[in-house]
Amino acid sequence: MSRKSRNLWLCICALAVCAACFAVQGLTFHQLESRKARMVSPIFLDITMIRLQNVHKLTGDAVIMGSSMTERLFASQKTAVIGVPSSSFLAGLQVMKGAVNFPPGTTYIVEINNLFNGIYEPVLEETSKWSFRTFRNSKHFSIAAKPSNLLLSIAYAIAKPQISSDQSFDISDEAIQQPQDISAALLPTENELKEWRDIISGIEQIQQVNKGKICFACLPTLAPGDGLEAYNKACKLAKHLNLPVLNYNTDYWRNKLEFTDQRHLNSARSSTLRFRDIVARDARNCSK
Amino acid sequence: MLFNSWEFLILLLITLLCFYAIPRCAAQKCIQTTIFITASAVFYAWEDWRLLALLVISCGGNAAATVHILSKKIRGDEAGAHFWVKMAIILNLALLGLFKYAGLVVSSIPGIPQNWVDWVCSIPLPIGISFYTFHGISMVVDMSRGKVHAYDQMLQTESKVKLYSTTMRDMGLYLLMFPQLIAGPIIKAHYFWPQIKAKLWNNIDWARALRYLITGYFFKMVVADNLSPVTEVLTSSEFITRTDGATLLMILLGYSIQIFADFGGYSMIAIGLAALFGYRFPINFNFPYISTSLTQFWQRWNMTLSAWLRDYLYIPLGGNRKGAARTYINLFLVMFLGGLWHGADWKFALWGSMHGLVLAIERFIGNTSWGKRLRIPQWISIPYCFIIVCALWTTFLMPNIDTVYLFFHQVCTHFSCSPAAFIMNPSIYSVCLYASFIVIYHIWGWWRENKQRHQPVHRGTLSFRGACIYGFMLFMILTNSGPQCGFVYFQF
Repeated sequence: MSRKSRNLWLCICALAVCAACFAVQGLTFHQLESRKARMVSPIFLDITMIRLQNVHKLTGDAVIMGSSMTERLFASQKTAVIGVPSSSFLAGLQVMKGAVNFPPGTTYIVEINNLFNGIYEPVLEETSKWSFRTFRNSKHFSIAAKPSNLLLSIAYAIAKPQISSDQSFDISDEAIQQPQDISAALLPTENELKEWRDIISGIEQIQQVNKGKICFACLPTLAPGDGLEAYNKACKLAKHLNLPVLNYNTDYWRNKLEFTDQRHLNSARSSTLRFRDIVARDARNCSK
Repeated sequence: MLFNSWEFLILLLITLLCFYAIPRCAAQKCIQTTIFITASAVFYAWEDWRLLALLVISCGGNAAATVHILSKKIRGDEAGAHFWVKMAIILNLALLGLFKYAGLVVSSIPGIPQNWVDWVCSIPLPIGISFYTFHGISMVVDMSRGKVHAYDQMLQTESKVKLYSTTMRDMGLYLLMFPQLIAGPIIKAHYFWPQIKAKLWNNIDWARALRYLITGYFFKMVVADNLSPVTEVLTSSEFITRTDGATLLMILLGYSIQIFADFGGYSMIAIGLAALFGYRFPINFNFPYISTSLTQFWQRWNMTLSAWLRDYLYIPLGGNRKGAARTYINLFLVMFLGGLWHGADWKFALWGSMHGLVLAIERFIGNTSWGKRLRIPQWISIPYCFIIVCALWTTFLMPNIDTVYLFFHQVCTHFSCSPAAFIMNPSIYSVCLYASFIVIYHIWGWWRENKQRHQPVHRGTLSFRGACIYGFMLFMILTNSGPQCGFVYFQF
């Protein structure tokens, strides 16, 4: 065999190996998807993998929309989760537009911590280009197009000992969270309404186009004063739009749940998942 | 334009098609060169077309000097040739000085008004200027040394217009050629000029091209780009203050791997691209992290820069021909200037100086009678060299000397951390994972050098095992590349 034809055959061989790797990857995804609970870990890379894995398959009668604080909650069959790291409600809307469509009557729970963040053009523009590539320098990729972290995740899952058992609490044990009384909140000024125009328009779009019900929720965080300003603004907006606000950023929830850092819930804990169901249940009850 | 961008891929495909579509004829070489230069100009001007003006000045000045040098030499006027060499070197260094070092010099002189300093510091650094300046110097020096004979006959027979247009075109190709335009490898004129001729599709060394391209892209996109977000935190004093020493050292290790993968990857891509166009570039990295001394490290790391500094700076300074003391001074001086070449900042000068100092010490020990007898096993000498190189990367990476001090202070005083926190740290995890590819690569290099020394290496063909590895690397490039980052050496 001449040198040229040998090289040609070996190039074909290399391409075949590449194709075989893709096939193995596909099978691995399939396996991981079917056993995703085992992949839940406190490492953000894994979280991303699972979150994005489900982005096209979000189902349920409630959807929680927010930032990286929300993404820790994970989606279930009944409750969808759209967490766009470092970004906002509006960015979540953009993701939703391209990826999922919920039936009329769905309850939309809007995380207020980042409700007012990311309303600026560059962030939205970035989000529209997101399409499951790098998002604002954070390591968030789609499993389908950019499973950069799959390698990490698999190796981690093998190396890491099993996740320790959770402190458990049951959804039925928890008293229903009453909507926050916002009657004392100030009404927003004209300037604020002007500034929040896009947010209000997004909310109206959900109400009118998607026929969805909306509720604001304040998720628990350990960071002192974190989101306080946003919370006050959210109360004003909620009063203006006549929407309910659920406040979970209380000592009760902060003690009940575990956090990986000051801000983020420990997604390795199944208590986080139960918390998600509680939020969804409360929101269903009070949303308008 | 970045090698790892879609725009570049499109440009490459169009250029390749046009380049090899030229039928065999007398003007084939001329047309192919023009196509290559045009593509390179597009490549360079993609971000800012105004940068081309500087390249044209550099190219025109060097071409004019070259013609004058050659005509003076033909007439036996060595003094005249020497004058033009000096003029060309002054032009190149002036461009480099103005655009790269003016800010540093002005800000270092006391008494200059701040608005002047601000104005000078605001002069933008044209990308790749350090590289094409060195290419320009190499060109005129090699011509004056009689190492390039491409125009010997033309000088006798052709008109001045033809001579100027040919040298200008060849010089344009040499300076602009996009595989090496922005970050090398620095190819010497006498190595490059004999390769300027008509190229045929059938003569492409596909095995070499694909081997280097796949490995280069793998290093850059999978290893370096994935490590980049992990290591960039080392530039923050705040991060260093609140992080334990063990983690900091791991991230520094990650940076050492990243910079090799980034620059080594770039050089490999350049070699592969050149091979696609029928040019052969020298290798720029030869498993640098298995070096047993810093002297050897510089024979393996950025080899073309080391060779350039040796041929055009160290040897003209006297090299090792003027006694031991002068040799040490020369080593130090060359590394100091080499450090400063990397960037207009005293931290780079410090980085180069430290390397120069260690090189001089190694040379001093090597010159002593006990040093000549000294045999250090590789399991000591390789880690010794690696630790020094890694430690010195801190001055290279960190924004100022205070941060470097803070880093080592933190490492010494707050080294320990809980094993659980260390293991669970995603940064550590990323470093371990992506560094493992480069570690394996170096182990393979070490094995090849030490165990296969007497076995023939079949170059030019791929083995089945090699094909499998390249197939896997291709898969990793397509699926596991990190966020797109610029090349580290683009800033130089």
